[in-house]
Amino acid sequence: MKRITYTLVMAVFALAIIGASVAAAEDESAWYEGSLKAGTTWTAQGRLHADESGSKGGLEYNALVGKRWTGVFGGDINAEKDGWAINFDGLYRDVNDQDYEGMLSLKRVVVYKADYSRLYHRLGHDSLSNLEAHVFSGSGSAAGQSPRSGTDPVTGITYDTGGANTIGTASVYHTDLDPTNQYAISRQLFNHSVDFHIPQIPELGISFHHRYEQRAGDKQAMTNSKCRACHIVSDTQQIKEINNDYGPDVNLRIGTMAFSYSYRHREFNVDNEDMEMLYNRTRNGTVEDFQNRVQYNDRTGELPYSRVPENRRDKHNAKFRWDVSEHTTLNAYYLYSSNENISTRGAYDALTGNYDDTLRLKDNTFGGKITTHVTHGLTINIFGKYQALDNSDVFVEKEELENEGGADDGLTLAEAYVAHGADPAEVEEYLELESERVSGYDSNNFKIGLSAAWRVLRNLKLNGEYEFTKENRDHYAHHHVPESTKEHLFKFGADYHFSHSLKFALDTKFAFIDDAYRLNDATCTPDGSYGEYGSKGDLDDYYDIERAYGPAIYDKRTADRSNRPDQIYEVKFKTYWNAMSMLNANFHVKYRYSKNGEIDGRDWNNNFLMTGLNIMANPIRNLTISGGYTYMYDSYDSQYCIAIYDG
Amino acid sequence: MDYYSEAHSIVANIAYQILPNWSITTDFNWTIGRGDIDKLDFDSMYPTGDAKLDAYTMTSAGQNTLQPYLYDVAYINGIDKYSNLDYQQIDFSISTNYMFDNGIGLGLNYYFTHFDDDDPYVYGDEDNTAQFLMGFVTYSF
Repeated sequence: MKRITYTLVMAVFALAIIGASVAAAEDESAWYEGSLKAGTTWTAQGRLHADESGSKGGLEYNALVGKRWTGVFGGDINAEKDGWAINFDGLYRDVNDQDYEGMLSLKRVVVYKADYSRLYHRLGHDSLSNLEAHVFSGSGSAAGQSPRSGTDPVTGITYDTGGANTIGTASVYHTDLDPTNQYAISRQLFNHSVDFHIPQIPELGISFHHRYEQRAGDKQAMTNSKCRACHIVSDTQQIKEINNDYGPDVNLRIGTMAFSYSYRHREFNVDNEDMEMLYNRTRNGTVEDFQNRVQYNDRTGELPYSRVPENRRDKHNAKFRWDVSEHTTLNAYYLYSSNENISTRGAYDALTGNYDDTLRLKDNTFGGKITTHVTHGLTINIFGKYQALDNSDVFVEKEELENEGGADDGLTLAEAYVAHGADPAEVEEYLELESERVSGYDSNNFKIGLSAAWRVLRNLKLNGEYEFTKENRDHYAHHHVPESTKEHLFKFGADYHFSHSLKFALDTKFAFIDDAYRLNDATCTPDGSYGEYGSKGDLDDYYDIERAYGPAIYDKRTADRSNRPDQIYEVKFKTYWNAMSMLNANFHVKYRYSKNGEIDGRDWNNNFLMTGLNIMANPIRNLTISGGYTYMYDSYDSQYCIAIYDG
Repeated sequence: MDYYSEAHSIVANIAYQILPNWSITTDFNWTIGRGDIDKLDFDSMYPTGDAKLDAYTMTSAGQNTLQPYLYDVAYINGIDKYSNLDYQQIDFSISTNYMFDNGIGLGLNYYFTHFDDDDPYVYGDEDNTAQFLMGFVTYSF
């Protein structure tokens, strides 16, 4: 591929030179102009440690690292004659660092535009070093307690409980199957479009657009198997993901009205390496009949991981504009989009997400805006929007494993609970996972608002806006979220020109939200304590239903938490100073404070500040000096409450 | 739990047209980034309050010797260190172009980047220094 690209680029340059020379010989008048560029790049890199293969600080998108000498080729040409025009501009620095764009116009009736770029993105290699949580290490830890006693199904290494391979009791450990690989993705983007303008119908414009994006390379794929210890495994996965977007645009203007329609079809196709992993077998530990407490392990055989679903999207966008009078304009739009996960069409498989049907999210949105100039200095906008989101429901099935051996040989977990005397109704309530899952996306949302801009004085302009938004969620009870969220948004601002050389702009925003999105009964208790959290019931009875996750954890969560604000206060200030013809400066600052005090426990809040100063000077002719400083600060205050439960 | 991140960025640019056919441009960019999780303070669930107890202490205390300690929330206090972000990056470039009367031009670009990672974590120490020197000839027609 590299050689083909190199050859292609050189051929283009050769043809351009020949073409230019021939044309120049035929006609000395310059109906064309352009340039060619050729050179080389020398690269030197230091302080890259041998054991840090993922090191990429500052060079995340640089394709030249590790290559001492590379060629540089580029050029541009602009030609126009007899209504025909052609433009081309391109630069080749490396097979993974290329940019080209061009245009061909046939008397402006047909205009073809295209651009191609290729970008290299170095990904990090997670050392997984944060995934080693050992209580004990080295030999001599208590026999039988290490989850790594036995043979690791991934590496084949046999760990014992007192020898050299004993690493101790771990709650988390890892295996990196390709620890030295350097991961990177090469992204190619190709856009092209063709516009048609029929001279006899100047009001009509038709165009067709195509966008092709490919991401290919290696990435670090990870999976997690359990139990009792979490075992994180990573390996190299070759990926190739392609996005194809295409569709037409139509624009038509009739008198005071203008229509536009756009359709885009997207196919996202995946040709990634299929990753599979043999998961750890459940360790028996202190409970002999433990096999039925997991959904899959090494008895299930190798299982897939790191799968990316393919999808398809159709998007229709229609817009209408009507200049009702000299002072009033009406805008309206309608949007319909359908996103389908087409990887779910296969035979039912709860692990991969296939369930013999298509998962589809549909979005119907329409809205409009009326703008009227009441007086020369006063403009009023009235706007509104309605959106309906509809997502597929999914019925989730669960394959239940049976115990192998022991007193409950051949029983599923639910069957074993009942066999040990548990109430079948409670077993059904807490252990039955098969159900119809309704989507949290399903909702009806609308927005209405009014804004005004008023030029009070020649050098003073005021503006204000009020906006009301309401989200209504269809399945709020199922998802333990508020039924609806109402937001009142106020904006006020002013532009003041003190003089031609000194200008100020102040903008403020206040939002007050009723029932901001939150998760009810999300964690711990309202006072932040554990309460009855993690109650273990009878420690000697492994079939005490009170020890199950439902009653011990989920039912004990009574505090509502959120990371969305119910109040937002924001202020922005900008000033522009043109001190003299050779010196100008601008200063900007933005501060936002948002909080949520409606939730239980500690309030959630966020402080954000960004400020900066830019100066540009021309002290002498032909010399431009510019400089700037920007500072950003962003802080969050939240609360954690961790579920404690051991198997 | 608090989390903050901050960044300072200083940029400077000088462009000088020395002669009608000779120009020089230089760019400088210095960025400092910091971030940290703070006030992550879970008490140990177990009697001594020390989540790093060894097996022998626990055996003498007569507790379940191993299993509960795998899930002590006090271990989570350690993740505040994982969040630490502290780096600075300096980029400097200078380029010059000279055009001869016959449409032939010469160009020279130099680019220097230095990345200093003072708190490595997931992706290892990302310290880096690199230099690039590009020379090229242009022909305008």
